[in-house]
Amino acid sequence: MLINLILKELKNNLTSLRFLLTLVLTLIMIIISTFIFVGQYHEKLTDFRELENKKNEQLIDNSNNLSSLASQQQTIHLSPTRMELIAEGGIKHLPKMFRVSTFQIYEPEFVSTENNFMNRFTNIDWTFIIAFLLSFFAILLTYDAATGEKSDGTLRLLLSHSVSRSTVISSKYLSALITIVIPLILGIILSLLLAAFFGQVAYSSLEIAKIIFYTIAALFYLSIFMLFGLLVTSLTKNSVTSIIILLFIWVISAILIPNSGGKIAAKFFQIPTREQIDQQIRDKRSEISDAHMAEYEMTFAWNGDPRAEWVPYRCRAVNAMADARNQINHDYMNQRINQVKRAKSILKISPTTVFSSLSEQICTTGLDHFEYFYQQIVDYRNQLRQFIIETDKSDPDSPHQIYEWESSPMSQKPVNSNAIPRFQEKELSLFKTIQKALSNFAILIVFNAVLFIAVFVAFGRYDVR
Amino acid sequence: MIWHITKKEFYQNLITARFIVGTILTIVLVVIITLILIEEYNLKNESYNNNLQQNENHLKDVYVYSEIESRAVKPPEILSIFHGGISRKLGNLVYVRRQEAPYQASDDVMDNPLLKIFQYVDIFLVFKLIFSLMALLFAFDLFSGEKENGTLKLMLSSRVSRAQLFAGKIFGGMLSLTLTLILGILIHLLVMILSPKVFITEEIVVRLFIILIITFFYTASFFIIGALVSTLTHRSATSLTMNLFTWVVLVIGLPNIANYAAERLKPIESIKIINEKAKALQKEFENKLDSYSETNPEPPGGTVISGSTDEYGGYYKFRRANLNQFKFYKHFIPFSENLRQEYADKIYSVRQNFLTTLKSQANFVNQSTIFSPVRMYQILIAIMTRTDLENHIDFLSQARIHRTQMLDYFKSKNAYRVTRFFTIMTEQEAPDVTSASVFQDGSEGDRIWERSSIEWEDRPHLSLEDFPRFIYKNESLSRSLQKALPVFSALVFFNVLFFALGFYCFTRYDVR
Repeated sequence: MLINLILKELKNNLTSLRFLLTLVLTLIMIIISTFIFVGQYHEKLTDFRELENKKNEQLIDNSNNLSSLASQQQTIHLSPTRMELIAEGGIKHLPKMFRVSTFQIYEPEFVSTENNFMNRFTNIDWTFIIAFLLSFFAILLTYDAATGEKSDGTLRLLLSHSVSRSTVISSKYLSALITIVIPLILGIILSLLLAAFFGQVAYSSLEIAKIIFYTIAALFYLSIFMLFGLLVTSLTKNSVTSIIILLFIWVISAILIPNSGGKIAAKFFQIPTREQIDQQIRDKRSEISDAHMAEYEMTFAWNGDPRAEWVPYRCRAVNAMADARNQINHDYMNQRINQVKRAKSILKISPTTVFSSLSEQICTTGLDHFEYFYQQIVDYRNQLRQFIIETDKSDPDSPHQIYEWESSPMSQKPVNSNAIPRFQEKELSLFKTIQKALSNFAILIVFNAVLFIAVFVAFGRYDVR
Repeated sequence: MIWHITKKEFYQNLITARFIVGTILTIVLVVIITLILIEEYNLKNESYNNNLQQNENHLKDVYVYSEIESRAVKPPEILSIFHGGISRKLGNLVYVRRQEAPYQASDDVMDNPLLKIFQYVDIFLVFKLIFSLMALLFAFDLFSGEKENGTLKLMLSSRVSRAQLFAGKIFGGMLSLTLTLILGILIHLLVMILSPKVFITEEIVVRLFIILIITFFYTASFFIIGALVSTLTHRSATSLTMNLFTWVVLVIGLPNIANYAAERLKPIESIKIINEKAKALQKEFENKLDSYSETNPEPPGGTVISGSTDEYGGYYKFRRANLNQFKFYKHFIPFSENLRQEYADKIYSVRQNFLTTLKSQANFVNQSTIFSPVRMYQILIAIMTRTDLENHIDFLSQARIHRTQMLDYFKSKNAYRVTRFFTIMTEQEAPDVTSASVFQDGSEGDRIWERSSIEWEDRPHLSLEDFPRFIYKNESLSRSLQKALPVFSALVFFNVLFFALGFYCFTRYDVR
């Protein structure tokens, strides 16, 4: 019986105008977004490779002297990722590079690459299409499920047969779900094909696996809006009331809540300003310098002799200052990242925020990409530092005092340029990705479960007359 | 007769769920968002006053002309509570210095830059979304609904003409929407009046009234689109679907696509190239200074106040200088300052070209989608709230005018030719010694040098009471209206056109 009902509903849905418009609009948007992405991706890739080569040349140049390698500032750029077709995550507003030396990670430049004179706009990616357009269509598919049939008088007729209410509502839910799957899957496949054949952007099997996981998440997200639709239609008497309530729910949860993060963060999760942090660093620095001055008063008078007996004290003092500064900067970066995350977690009362952060987690784009990139930069600096220390140890002529103020009290020998550790951005494994995304996925499922029960209760009590 | 129909429609609408839900929601959102944005406005205001204070503090603490710099600060706009606009992200603070013509502003309210991934919510966004949706939801079953109920036949069988019916229904629907609109704006205004730190002037009220009129026409354009679709369809459900798809395309799809189109069709030079060009000019300037110093080397000796001398930046502060240095700087400074102005202008013209391309890209977005009521509404509101691009550009040019005033001030004080430009020491006090003799302990030169030591702290500051202060000139109401008029006429024309089209379709509507 359920199957019969589903087939009937499905036939109704697929022949309706709303389905046709949904399909056409989704496919048009997918095509536009894919072409925009492919163009930008290739540009970014060319730039990135050029910068990589430059960075490598500099490394090779500096490999003739270990001390200049140690103090060299490398500019490491965020690698463009193919997953930005799926979710861009506002990466264009985040820093795209870090300058790193053995001694510190410099504060990144926060310069947006878009034309500031233009109004802000959302990137058109899959997540945009699913979060805004398909969720809108999900509502359009379900807002009159009960009220429409009621006004036609067919609902009474249907329920006068030996069909349970739960069968009726399940059939409506499942058929709507199948209906929305069609533009979703067609869109995704079309986009991948276009990217592969017209854009020469091919996805690896790991990426495809992530995309499949993403598609399942998208389905759970769209299901929430369908359940919203079914719930409201089961609580109202006519379709117009139902649609207006639903559209307001949609405007608030899909547009207003996800965008109010900046205000929430500024109000509830205040963090110190950059100036305050700089002051903190200066205070710490004078504190350390005072402590070490007492230990050895000559520490800060440099006379150019790398083997002077007080150089180790100087080295210790300078490194203590550098470590303190690096720690403060590192903590501040984490504070800033966490501020955004906390603001987002409050916004998770809207399924759209849950879905968009879930998709950034799955794709490792947006803030997640930035955070992961930063972690790798931190690791890389430690690795490079280790390498410099090890290489310096193997040089018997070196005084072995490595610190950032002077370069002479350490090895001046050339290094094998192939042995220098290079920064290579790593891809997150599927397991780790899923692990990271699990909590958001769970929220989506909870949304679904709660709404599902609510729909059953509401429809069970619906007055069909 | 039209009035009767209008009244009937109006009363009918008032008791519908869509009216009640829409109005309550609008009011709740307006109150919440206004309160949040007022807090943001207060912060900006604080920072504005702080900047003014720091500017005064700096001017009171100046000893020599070369260290003068001035701050041009734009006061926060009260109407930015309604619409943050483009100027929200372009900054409001410019440091006006001799060596650089201002071309961009910095944002003094520095918060976490990572928060930029969030977009911005203001009253304008709420109005844009809610009123367009409400208009479509009020209009979609205007005719198809009555047809389904069978009342349309009935009505037209009486002595009502189609024209009267059409006009009456549209006026009635718009009247109820206007009620919500007026409530929304009034409550926005009321919340602002009740908050102690926001001072509402008459002009603000007038501007809000104009915003009300603009929003009315914006809402009307969607209402008429809805009515037109309704006259083209025979079932309300179909009409609703088509209306909502139109909405998605106009409000969500088109504005985003237009930006991409502009980026593709009107590409701009990379900012990196511009920065390199500017850097090259700066280098050229520095080379010219260096070559001057090669032919006329600067006499050695003298002590500068630590960290306070930057020859290329044009910033000198000598604690002590010897007589030869006085002679040198008397010739060097007029030369270097003239060169500095010349290169500041050159660098600015490079920057200006770039700004022009940025602006034309932004204008392309506006022009390419000007047919959409959403775009017209956005342009008009930005103009009326004084948060549009032109206002920001005007602020920058005011800052440049302020720089000219500053340079004129220097000229009127003959600042480049007096020694007060680089030291507080007078020429009479300057020791006639060379550096060689100074560093021989116990020598005659050393004694003279020691005697010439002066305490800056005991000397008076430069009196800068007559130094020009930056006063931001707000765009006048008449100028705003003048700017808004063409787009506003386009919006009204859009309404008239679609009204006529709707009417034409209605006369051919099959009411059976």
